[in-house]
Amino acid sequence: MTALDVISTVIVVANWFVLAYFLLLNTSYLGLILLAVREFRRHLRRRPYAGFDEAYTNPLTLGVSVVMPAHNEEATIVESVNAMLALRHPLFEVVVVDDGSTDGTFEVLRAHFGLVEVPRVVPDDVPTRGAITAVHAPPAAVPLVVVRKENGGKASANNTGINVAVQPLVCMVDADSLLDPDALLAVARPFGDDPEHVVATGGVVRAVNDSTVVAGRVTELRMPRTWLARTQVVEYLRAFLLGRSGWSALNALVVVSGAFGLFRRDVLVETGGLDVDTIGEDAELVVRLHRWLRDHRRHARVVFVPEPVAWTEVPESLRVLGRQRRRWSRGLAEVLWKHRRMIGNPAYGAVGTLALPFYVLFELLAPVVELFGLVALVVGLLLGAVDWAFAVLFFLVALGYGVALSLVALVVEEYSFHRYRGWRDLAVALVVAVVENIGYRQLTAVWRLRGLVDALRGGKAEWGRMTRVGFASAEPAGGPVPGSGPVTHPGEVVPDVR
Amino acid sequence: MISPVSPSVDRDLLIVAAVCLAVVLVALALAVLVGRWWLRVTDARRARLVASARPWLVQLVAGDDEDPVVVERLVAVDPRTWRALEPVTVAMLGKVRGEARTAVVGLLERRGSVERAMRGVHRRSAVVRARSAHLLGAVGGPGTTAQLVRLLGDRDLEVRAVAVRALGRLADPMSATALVHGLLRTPPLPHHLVMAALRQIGPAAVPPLLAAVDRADDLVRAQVAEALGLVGAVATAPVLVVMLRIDHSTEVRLRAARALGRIGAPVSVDDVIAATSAREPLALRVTAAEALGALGARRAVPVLADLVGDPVHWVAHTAAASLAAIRPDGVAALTRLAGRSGSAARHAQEALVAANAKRLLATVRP
Repeated sequence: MTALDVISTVIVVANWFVLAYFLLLNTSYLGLILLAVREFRRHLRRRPYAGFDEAYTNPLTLGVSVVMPAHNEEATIVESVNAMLALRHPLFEVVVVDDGSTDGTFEVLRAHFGLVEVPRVVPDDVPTRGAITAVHAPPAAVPLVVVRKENGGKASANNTGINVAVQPLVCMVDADSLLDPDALLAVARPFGDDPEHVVATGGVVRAVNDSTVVAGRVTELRMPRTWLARTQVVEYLRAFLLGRSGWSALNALVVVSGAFGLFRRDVLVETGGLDVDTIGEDAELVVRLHRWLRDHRRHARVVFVPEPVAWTEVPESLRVLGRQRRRWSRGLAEVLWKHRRMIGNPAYGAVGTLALPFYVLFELLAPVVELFGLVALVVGLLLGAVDWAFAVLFFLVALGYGVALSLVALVVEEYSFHRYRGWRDLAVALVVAVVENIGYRQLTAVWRLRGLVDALRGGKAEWGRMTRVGFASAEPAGGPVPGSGPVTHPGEVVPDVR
Repeated sequence: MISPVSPSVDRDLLIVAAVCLAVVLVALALAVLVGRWWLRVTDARRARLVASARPWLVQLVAGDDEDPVVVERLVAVDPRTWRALEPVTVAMLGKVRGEARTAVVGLLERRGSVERAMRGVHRRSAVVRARSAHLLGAVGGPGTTAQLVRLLGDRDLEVRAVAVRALGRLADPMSATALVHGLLRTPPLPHHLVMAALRQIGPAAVPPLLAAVDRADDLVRAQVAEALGLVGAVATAPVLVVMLRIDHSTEVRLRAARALGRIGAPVSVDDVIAATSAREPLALRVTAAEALGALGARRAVPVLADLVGDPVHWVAHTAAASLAAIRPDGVAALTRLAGRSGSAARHAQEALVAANAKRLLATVRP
């Protein structure tokens, strides 16, 4: 056997391995989607008698502190805060943490709400980075607190918000997120249904680009104009809405988006809040929660609520998206490394035996296998080691199964929440389901691989940040806001070394 | 170039795989499109049917007197239209009072909706049982409480929760004992719903609650204490005081303190003050300090003023907030503290500002 034969054999074996890997990966996703379907069915059936009105009048409904970390969010902050203040909930406050903004974030807030400095003793229940410089509140009857602090990063800003929060539940939302009116009541509901066990709930995040926003409410949902954002709509639907619902059904949800998550404050304090040194601080927090709860022999649940929704702008330029995905991938690697003791460990239940191994095999290593498979296939074909029919089969399985998965996600969305009502939106979504598997998927694999390399190399974490230019509003909420208006340019990355 | 070493894939297999995949993809795409078409058609049909009868429904709930012609028209609509209109009618029930409500209930009875709901609570489908319980809770009437009480033992958690809420809406004293037993059973009913329902029932819930104060389960006793506070039965204050004094569970004592604050019984002030002692668990101290503010007793002012200087943040913070609620002595004590230096002064300043904001909020919130 010559060296070339050996190489060829290795390539062929590698190709079969990659093929099997793809089958397993997509089948796992299919399983999660099927679990999600069961959850959605139950959720939708209970909707007519969900009891939101009773929750609103029940004196035992737990109060919520909505924490919004903000760094240079001048364009959208007033609209976002107004939207938060208009949420339906009997007892809540909004805590905006201005994390050393260098633009007019605080000034627009002060001008709009007439903020004045107030005395406030803030406990150090969870660690933070960067001192608080002032606390402001409106003199009028508005449950709003604005904390100004030195720049310390998003996790630190969230921790400051946790310290300032006075309600038993803390809802962390991004400053550019918009919540549906009943979103707080909905995500808080599991805490009332099962107060002894539920410690955290996560809501859905969807893309709002180019949809119409009036007074902080998404009034007309449309597919974004750019193909990049459109692709993320389908991607969010498949991976976030359906994937996380599936994990929640298995009581193995390990990611609650930092853009919309609700936590018991006492548990956050006991576990030390968010890790200010981790990039994927939202995922790290939830994994640490699971670990802490199991280590302390406390039976607890982290629940995903598929509706209502937090709306957020998604990146519309490759540069911003690439940085975001690198960051996610690096964050995931760091979280998994930090909590490696849990991986495959039955002591941590479904999180240890199912969720974390899945994230290692099918999230962290997926870009490695995917790109390796592509290279192996091309090399195999060039060397003549791979039969062309095998190559076609490989392509069909890898691509076709991926497209099928996206289409299944669209079917589920159509028969459950069907948020996008127009035929044109539907046609776009169908096209995206196909094209996201050609080019986009491979591109994200490259970015994720770079994130993994970043994690292996270590070094200082660099935060990417989208410069928001505002929601596509029919009219500005409560008077003109500098910089607000339709989204016309993709966001730019402003390196923000924290 | 070398000869392929990969297992040769049969051309026929390839074709079969490609065709299968294409069929699956087309089927899924069709499912999306058909789903969209079907939803649009059914939504439009439902909207059309509702629109045809809604004016009569609006007339029914808006009219000062029950117009027999309007009622007869609604009673006479065809079954398809009624199926579309019924959810709208049931939803209206929660928004109307008095004669309008009676008229809507009468309509639901004449259309057979109430009778169907009475049968529906026995159906196999949990969705039907929950929907029926929801309707029965909205309309009430003879036999309704008994049916809903039976559903408290339903195998489906959602059905049980809907039944509890429905009983709360009806506020029938006959259901109080069953609801309290709901706190004791395993698995229990959703506690916060049961307590809200007991609060709606009011004093009639007190006897079954008192019968459960010495249950062995800490959680049950804690919930009973909480419920007594929500019901607001002043006569039960001595019982709650005993719970606060001697119960071995911190959770029970904490909830008893909170209940005493809600009830506002002056007899409990000394015991609540004692619960703020530094020897007590932190959570109890904070809750007791809060309860003192709710009680509004002037003799608690010096104790609270001392607590504002407590090294534990949440004790000091809560004590300051409670002082702000006790007018005028508490506010005067806070003002004195605010003029000094140190953490007590900062807590006092914060509480004074927050109290002003809270008063403003209270004027705008319903």
